[in-house]
Amino acid sequence: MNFLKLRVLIVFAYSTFAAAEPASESVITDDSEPKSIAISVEDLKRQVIQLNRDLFILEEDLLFPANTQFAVYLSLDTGKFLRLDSTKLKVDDEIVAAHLYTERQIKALQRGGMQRLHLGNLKTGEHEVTVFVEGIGPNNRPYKHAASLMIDKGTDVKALEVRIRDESSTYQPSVDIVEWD
Amino acid sequence: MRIPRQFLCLFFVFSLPASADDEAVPERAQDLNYGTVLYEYYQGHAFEALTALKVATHKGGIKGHGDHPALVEGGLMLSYGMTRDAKAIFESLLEESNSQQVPTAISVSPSSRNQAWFYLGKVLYLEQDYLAALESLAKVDSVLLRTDAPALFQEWLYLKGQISQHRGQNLSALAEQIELLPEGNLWRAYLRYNQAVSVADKHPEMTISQLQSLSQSLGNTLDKENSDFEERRALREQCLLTLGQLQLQLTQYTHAIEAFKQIRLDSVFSDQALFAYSIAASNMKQYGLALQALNTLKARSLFTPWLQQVPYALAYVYEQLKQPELALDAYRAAASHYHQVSEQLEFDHQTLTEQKIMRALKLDDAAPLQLGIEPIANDAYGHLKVEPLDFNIAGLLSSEVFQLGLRDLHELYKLKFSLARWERQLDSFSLMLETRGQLRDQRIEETVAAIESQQAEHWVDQQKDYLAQITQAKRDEDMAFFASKQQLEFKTQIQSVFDALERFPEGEEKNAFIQKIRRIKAYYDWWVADQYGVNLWQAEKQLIGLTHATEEFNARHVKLKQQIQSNQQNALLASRVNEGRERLKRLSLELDRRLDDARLQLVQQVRNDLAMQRGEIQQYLLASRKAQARLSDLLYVQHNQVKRVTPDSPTEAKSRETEVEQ
Repeated sequence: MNFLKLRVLIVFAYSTFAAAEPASESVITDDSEPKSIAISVEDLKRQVIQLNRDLFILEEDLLFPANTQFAVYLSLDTGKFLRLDSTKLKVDDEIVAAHLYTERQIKALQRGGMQRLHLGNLKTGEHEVTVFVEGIGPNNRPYKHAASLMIDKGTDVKALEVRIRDESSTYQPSVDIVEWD
Repeated sequence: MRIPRQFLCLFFVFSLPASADDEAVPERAQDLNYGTVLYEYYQGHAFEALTALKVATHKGGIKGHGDHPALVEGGLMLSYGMTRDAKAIFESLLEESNSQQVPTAISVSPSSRNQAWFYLGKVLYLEQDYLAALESLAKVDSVLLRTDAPALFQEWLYLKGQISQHRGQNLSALAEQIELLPEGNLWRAYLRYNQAVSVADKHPEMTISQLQSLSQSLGNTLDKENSDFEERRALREQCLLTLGQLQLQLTQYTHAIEAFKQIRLDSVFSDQALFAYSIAASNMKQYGLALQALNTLKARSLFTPWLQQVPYALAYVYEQLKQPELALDAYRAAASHYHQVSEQLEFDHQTLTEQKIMRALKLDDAAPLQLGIEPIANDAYGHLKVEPLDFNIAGLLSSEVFQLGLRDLHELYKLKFSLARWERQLDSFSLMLETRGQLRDQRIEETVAAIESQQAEHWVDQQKDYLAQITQAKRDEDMAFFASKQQLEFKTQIQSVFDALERFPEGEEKNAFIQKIRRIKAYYDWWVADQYGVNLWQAEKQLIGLTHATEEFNARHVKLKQQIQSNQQNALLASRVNEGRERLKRLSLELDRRLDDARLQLVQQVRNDLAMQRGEIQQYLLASRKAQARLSDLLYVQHNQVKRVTPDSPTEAKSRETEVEQ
């Protein structure tokens, strides 16, 4: 009979003296082991990021040398007049990229992020770049818009930005392709 | 009762357009690379964003955003669990900008800077590095934080209070933070609770009084309309549970029962409250109430290890109710249950692997857990949102140590998958370079053949010959040499007239023709002499053009020869691929080692926990068997006493003996 009381007290010792922490900041019992692992994991992460960076650069140098490199980025304004759904990119009548957007990606774009829509190679000379944007426009109507630009590809990297903006004067979204120096 | 609200801010604080003058900051990314970093960053892809940031830095850095990319990098590192690197960045960046006091140079607003210190302190606190956490929190400008982000200011006070308590400092430091928090504030309630519990060992009466006051205060502020209603109610119930348990220890059973009664039956604390209630009732000899509480518990699944006490307690209460047959059955059932649980725990202990741990966990959406795979949801501090499938692991899962271990294992698997991807890529790069080399050789062969077929060397010799002839004619002032095509045609015509006149018969007519053609010839000579400058210039111009073309050809030819002789560019790329492969190999080995360590540590944690649970179960098993033997003896003695009055049949006696043996 005494046993039960003894056990109960042990259980009580657990619950009574457990400090209250809001949410996931649960009670901590031992802090020496995880710290050492955490530091080594942190160190590994640093090394992997470094390697990742070097390999990304190598990949770019190998697959997309500077003299032929051609990149297209996409940016979105506040998106008041357009709920972006998908984009398609054509270079000289050939579709080189197409993308369907998730809610998370749209939010990332609305907050100032820029999506690299396409990275490829292009010969020197004149090319026509066309982008098709689809989504839901003002008054919940399906919105489709295309924008084109003739570009002259030299021997340097060519970067374009597909800029989707809200035109407050027309209450419509606008799509432009802008060249970056 | 997870509260993600305070974590959500972590990503956002570093993403604000921070500048000394926010008005002047452009809304758009001024640098394409920075735009892509932000794109990954806002999606919570810390690893990808950090890589993109490093690539951008390597390509010459991010322009037009001042020090803000570095602040973002610090924020990314913080959310990616690289706390020490983040700390180093913040310290160099924020302290430097603080000391400069030059708004144009810093481009980090005081508000962002303040919040950066706050979040760094909070992450360090979660990692239990209290000293470092305190250092960071001390750098927060409290006046600014109070006006800028009052909610963060209150949490800041809470964190300081918690740290002072964890570091075992004077309780007055904790009391000071409590006083600074407004009455009715939830952070204040947490601190008050912890303050009360911290003195329970030495001054239980004081703890009781403080907990009574706190539960009353929390009860008064309960309002369903408030967003923190659930959290406040849960804290109140935790408060009541602790209060009741303490009163139970001090044998204040009536008060304890009153406290337990206030906890709802569907509360997360109701199991503990019901069990403690049954103890209190049992001690007050109110076995009916105790039985009622235990039966309610019995009807629930014994999900948490500590609920394993219920089968034994049930039998105990039957015994107290003077129902030895029922108690004996209950003790027997309890022993059988404990035996089974003990066997299972022993089996789990012996056969425990990482896979078994993962099978005992599930994700929020009931999907099985597979570490290293991207869709696993986690909070801004990397804690995985998983739930236990096996009750043996439930208690352990809620501990920060296990959570951190799980997080690290997940991160290590992610790194492993990332390296595996590069391994495949590097293989394809090698193949690509090999193919490129073969194509190059083929092109060189074709080019050499084309040059040979065009007799390019011959044209170069001819150009030299022309140069020599022109130089000589110029020196000799050979006007005829530079005559134009038209002039040459005229010359031919004049000569043909002279030739025709040779065949003419002598006479007046012939002489007249000769005179005429001589005049024409004289005019022609004058014309050629007059045009000499123009013709010379034309010829030189042609020669210069030809020389340039030849020089260009020669230069290309030399370059081509060099290209043929050396394959420097491809060789450089190939060496980079090889170097990458070497580094990848080294890192993979290191990663495997760390994975083994992390796996071992996690398994060991679970193993220790299982051993502890088994130890407890063994004690219950022993106690159940002892009680079973005791009751069997008692019943046997009682039965024999009755038997002396009315003798038993041999079959009945045999069955009783078997029962006792069991």
